[in-house]
Amino acid sequence: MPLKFLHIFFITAAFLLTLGLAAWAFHIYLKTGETSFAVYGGGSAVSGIVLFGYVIYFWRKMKGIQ
Amino acid sequence: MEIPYTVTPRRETGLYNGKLGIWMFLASEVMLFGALFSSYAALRTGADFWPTRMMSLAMGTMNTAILISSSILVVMGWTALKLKQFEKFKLYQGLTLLCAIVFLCIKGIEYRQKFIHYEVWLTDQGVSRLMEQHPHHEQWLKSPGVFPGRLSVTGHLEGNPWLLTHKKLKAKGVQEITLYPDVAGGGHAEPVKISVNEIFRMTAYAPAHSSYFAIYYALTGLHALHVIGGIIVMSYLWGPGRRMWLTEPERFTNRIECSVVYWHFVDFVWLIVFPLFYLF
Repeated sequence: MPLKFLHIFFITAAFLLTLGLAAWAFHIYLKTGETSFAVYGGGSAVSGIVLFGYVIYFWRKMKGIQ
Repeated sequence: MEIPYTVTPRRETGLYNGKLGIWMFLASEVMLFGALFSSYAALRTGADFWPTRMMSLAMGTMNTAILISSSILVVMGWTALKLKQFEKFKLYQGLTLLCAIVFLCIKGIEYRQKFIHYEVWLTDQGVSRLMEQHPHHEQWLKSPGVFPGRLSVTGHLEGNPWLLTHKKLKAKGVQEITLYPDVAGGGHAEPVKISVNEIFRMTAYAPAHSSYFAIYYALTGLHALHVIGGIIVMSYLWGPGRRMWLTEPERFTNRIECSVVYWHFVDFVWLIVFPLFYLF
C-alpha cells in the first residue's frame, strides 16, 4: 500500500475515533449532566472536523507528488 | 557487489527491498498485537467483573492527540524529502521525535500514578471494625468487585510507597497502614488506619491486581516498547543516518518511508488501545 493511502487510512481511523469519542462523551453528558463531558464531546467533534479538513488538504497536496 | 532493488522496485513485487521487509515485519506485528487483543476480548468476556474508567481520560486523550499529531508530522517530513526540502524534513522529524518522547513521559507518569495507588481487600473483622469506627464509610468502602465477596478500600498510602503488597508488609513487620481512601466523584477522605491483620489482600494497581491491569500493562508496555523502537530508528535517521541524503537521496527517502510506515502502525495500535482502556 503506498504511504499516502496508508496515511489517509490512518487519519480516517482517527477521524472515526473522534466521532466515536464525541458520541460517547455526549451520551455520558446526557446521562450524568456533567458539563466536562459536554466540553470533551465538543472538543472531539472539533478535532474530527480538523482531521476531515486535513485529509482533504493532504489528498490534494499528494496529487502532485509521486 | 551492489545490492539490487534498494531504490527501484522489484518487477515481481512492485516493491523495493526495504518496503517489502517492513510490510513483512508489520504482518508479524499484527499477529503479536492481534493475540493480545484476542486475550483482552477473552478475559473481558469471561470475567464476572471488569473494572471500567480506571485510567485518566485526560492523559489518554492527550497521548492520543500527540500520536495523531506525530503521524501527521512524520508524513510532512517525508513529503518535504520528496520535494527536496531537507531542512523542513529535519524540523518535522525532530518534532515527531519530540511527540514520541512526550508520549512516553505521559505514559511514565500514568504508570507511576498506578504504582502508588492501592486496593486493600479487608477481612470480615476489618470490615466490621471500619464500619463501627467510621460513620461515613459508605463514601469509600467499595462493594465486591475484582475479588468476589470481599469489600475493599482504594486510595494512596502514607508516604506514597511503590508496589507494596500484603506479603511485603508482613515481611517488614509493619503492624498498621494509613490509607487515604478514594471518594466517589474524586478526591480523598480522611485517612483511615488499617491493621495489617485485617487485610485480606493488598496490591497496587500493578499487573498482579487483576486480569484488567495484567492485560493493560501487557498491551501498553509492548506498545511503549514499539514507541521506543521508533524513537531509536527515527533518531538515527535524523542524526548520523542523514548523511546518506548527500550521496543517495532516493535511498534515504525510501528509508524514511519505511520508518513512516512503521510509525503509522504504532499509532494505529494506540487508536485501538485507547478506547478499550480509557473509555469502556
